[in-house]
Amino acid sequence: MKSSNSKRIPDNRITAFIISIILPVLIIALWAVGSDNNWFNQSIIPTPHKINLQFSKVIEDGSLLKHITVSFVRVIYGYVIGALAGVVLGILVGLFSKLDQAFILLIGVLRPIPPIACIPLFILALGIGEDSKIALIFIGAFWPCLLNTITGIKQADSKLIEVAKVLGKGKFIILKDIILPSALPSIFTGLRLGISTAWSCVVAAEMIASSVGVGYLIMYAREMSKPALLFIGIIAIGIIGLLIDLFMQFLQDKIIFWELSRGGKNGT
Amino acid sequence: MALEVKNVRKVFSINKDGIEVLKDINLNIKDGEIVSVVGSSGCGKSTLLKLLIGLEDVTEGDITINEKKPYEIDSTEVGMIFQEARLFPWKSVYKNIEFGIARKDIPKKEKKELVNHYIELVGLKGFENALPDQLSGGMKQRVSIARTLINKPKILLLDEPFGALDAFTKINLQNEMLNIWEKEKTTMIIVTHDIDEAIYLGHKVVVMSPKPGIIQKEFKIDISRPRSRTSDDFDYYRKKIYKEFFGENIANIEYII
Ligand SMILES: Nc1ncnc2c1ncn2[C@@H]1O[C@H](COP(=O)(O)OP(=O)(O)OP(=O)(O)O)[C@@H](O)[C@H]1O
Ligand SMILES: [Mg+2]
Repeated sequence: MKSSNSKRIPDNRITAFIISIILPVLIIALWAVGSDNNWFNQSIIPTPHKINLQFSKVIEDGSLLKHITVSFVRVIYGYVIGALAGVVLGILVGLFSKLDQAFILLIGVLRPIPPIACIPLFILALGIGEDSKIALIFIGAFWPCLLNTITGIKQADSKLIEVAKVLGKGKFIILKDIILPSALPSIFTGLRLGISTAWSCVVAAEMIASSVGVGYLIMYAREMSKPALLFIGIIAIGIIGLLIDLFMQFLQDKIIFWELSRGGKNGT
Repeated sequence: MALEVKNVRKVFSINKDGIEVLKDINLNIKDGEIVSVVGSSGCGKSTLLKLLIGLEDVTEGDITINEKKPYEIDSTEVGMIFQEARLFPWKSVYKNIEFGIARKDIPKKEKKELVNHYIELVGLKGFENALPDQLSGGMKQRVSIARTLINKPKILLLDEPFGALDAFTKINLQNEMLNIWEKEKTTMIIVTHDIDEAIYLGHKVVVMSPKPGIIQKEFKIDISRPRSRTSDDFDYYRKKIYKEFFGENIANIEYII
């Protein structure tokens, strides 16, 4: 029984992988066939072959890597500050009900504003340089981290806290050993949402005002009527977003190891 | 340690008008005595234990444990085992039990020996590194018991500790508790829904009734230990307590049992 069970797991993984690549492969095949038969307007949808050529070019001259690196560094800056601020403030608001009451209205009003709506304000206040972009990424990362941290902290199981109280444990131990670990899954949800909003925000900011970065690359490609370059930019954004999320999932499984032993929960 | 509950009343304020959960509670528990508390759901049994351990405050009346108030008692002296194991899912068996140590001044080496001793005591050797979600229900409750016993509390409060377990595990753990009592003469107050368990363990069985929670009757159990669940003495108390619950004219008690 046991051996056949443990054998099935990798089998399942391979099957899952194969199933997951069916659709992308189909789409690319359809695209190639369609291009050969002139189904699409080539000045909008280039042939895979053209994209390939363009891709080798931007790899060789290093321009793609340059744009990606610039965008990535911006994201890291804004994200680290935004996530840190969100988590720390979230812990405080989650812990102290007075703070919660003080912030509830402010959070309620500000939260529904899409970060991108703030771009004009940030440009006006901080100029079109790095600061306004990092401010935007900060906001994008901040909200999901804040809200999910608050939820997580409030969710801490009062029954576990009772156990600690009965054992005479102090406030610091209760925070470190119970409240924070119970909040970690929720905090991680916030961190993952935060990085994906941060990544969308950098692209948006670069499309509006920038001379380098993936967002800029897309706008430039449109202006120069280079659809192949435009596609490369868009696909690069998708792939990097995926890689970031895979990395976060990997971190999550390492840090919140006890959720894995519950089985089932396979991340989203 | 002796324990005295005097005219205790407890009111919870849910809305403006509070609800009276406990009324006129009087209990005298001698050092080394095991007291079982039975009563229908919602009659305030858990609340009584929370008052005893200082998680809640009395509305009126007094609780004294060796001349001290519950909140003055050192947490190494009074321990509590809950109905659910209440383990920390992120801590291994070892770490969960280690967390139970209430003394702060204990050297590292001694700590390790202590934890290992209690892991062995509850029969979980080899599972030190397992996480709670990898254990069965009975094993979890064993961890929880070890986490409480590690302080060698002089008073042990147990809130339906074996309620969620199957009959075999339950009887095993009941006997383990009695072994501990034989060795340490720990004063125990055990809340349970199980009348057999109450008689099997208690020197005294306290029957509570709800709305508001009062002590309806106390039975002194005069059966020598080890007790047998199938003996006539046992049956005598069983019938008496069932009658206390369901009234005199219950058609066929044997059938219910
Ligand atoms: N913190 C609280 N606030 C308000 N009411 C409470 C609180 N804790 C308990 N109660 C109420 O007190 C009553 C007694 O609750 P308690 O948990 O002590 O019952 P119990 O006898 O342990 O029941 P069970 O056998 O089901 O565990 C219930 O009606 C419950 O709703
Ligand atoms: Mg209860």
